[in-house]
Amino acid sequence: MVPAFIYGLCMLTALICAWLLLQAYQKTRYRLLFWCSLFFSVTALNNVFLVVDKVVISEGDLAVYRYAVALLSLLILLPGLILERE
Amino acid sequence: MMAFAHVLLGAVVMGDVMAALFFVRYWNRTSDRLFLFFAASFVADAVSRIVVDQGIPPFGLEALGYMIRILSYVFIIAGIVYKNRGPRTSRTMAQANPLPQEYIR
Amino acid sequence: MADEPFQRFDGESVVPLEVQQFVLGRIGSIAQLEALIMMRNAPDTWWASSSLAERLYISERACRTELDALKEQGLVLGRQGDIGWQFRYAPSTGELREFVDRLVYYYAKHLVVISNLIHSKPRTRLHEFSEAFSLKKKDA
Repeated sequence: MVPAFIYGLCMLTALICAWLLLQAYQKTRYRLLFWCSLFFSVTALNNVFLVVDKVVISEGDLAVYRYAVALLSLLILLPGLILERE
Repeated sequence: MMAFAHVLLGAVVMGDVMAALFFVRYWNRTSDRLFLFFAASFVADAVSRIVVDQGIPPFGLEALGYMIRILSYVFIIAGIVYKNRGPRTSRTMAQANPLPQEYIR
Repeated sequence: MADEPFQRFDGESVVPLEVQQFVLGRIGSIAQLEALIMMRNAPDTWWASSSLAERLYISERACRTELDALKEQGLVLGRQGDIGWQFRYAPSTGELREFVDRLVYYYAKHLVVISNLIHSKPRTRLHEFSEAFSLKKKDA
């Protein structure tokens, strides 16, 4: 019961972050914000995935897929951070 | 499958650390504490992944590791709140104090 | 002094628009403006960035950055001396020189207005990124 609440909170806070970043991007259209908001959006989705994995699907563990999504999101974010002219 | 999951985990942790380092660099460039919050977020995420994977919380309470992940998102929210708290709290360097009058001709 | 109006009661800007645009376009920070003024007061002198840093109460590294920015804008010249970088007041065109003169006049007369103008612009992409999260509206 408590773990499900924690996973739900992960999802909720991740969605809040994604929303905040997306708001900032919509306001300004800065490129660095584009990458960051994209990253947090994928992360939020990954957390939805987490809730589904842990709460809905009781057998087995989709961890490897969640890690793959997390890695993908970082591979999107990092080039944005590296190539950004300060 | 299990071994590959660990490879991916290692890559993700490394990616988190890299992102954190970039935000530390940005903080270094601008002295804007918002970037420090972002860096903390990525560090917390890396730690949470290791904690979850290694079953570090006692009694196998995996969910405790996920609480660290919640903390990482809270860092982002806190950073943005901090940014909006007041005119002087997150102002970037060298602009908070006007320079002495005698330098003005 | 903190409530100095940006516009006079008849709607005219206290500082002319072209001077404002000059500030927004060419001057990145108060430190840059102060450095420029200092160097302008002794236009034939090559100033060491370390001594400017001291008089501006900023670090030498920060001072170097500011002076390089002024150099980019064609307002000062730089050369590498044996003890470090030196800079000299040298606007690349007569028009720039004139703008600086006018800016100095308005800065002396309306410090807060000019300061606020400079503070209102994000200096770098990173600063812009950071300011994007600020919910407050910047006053004119």
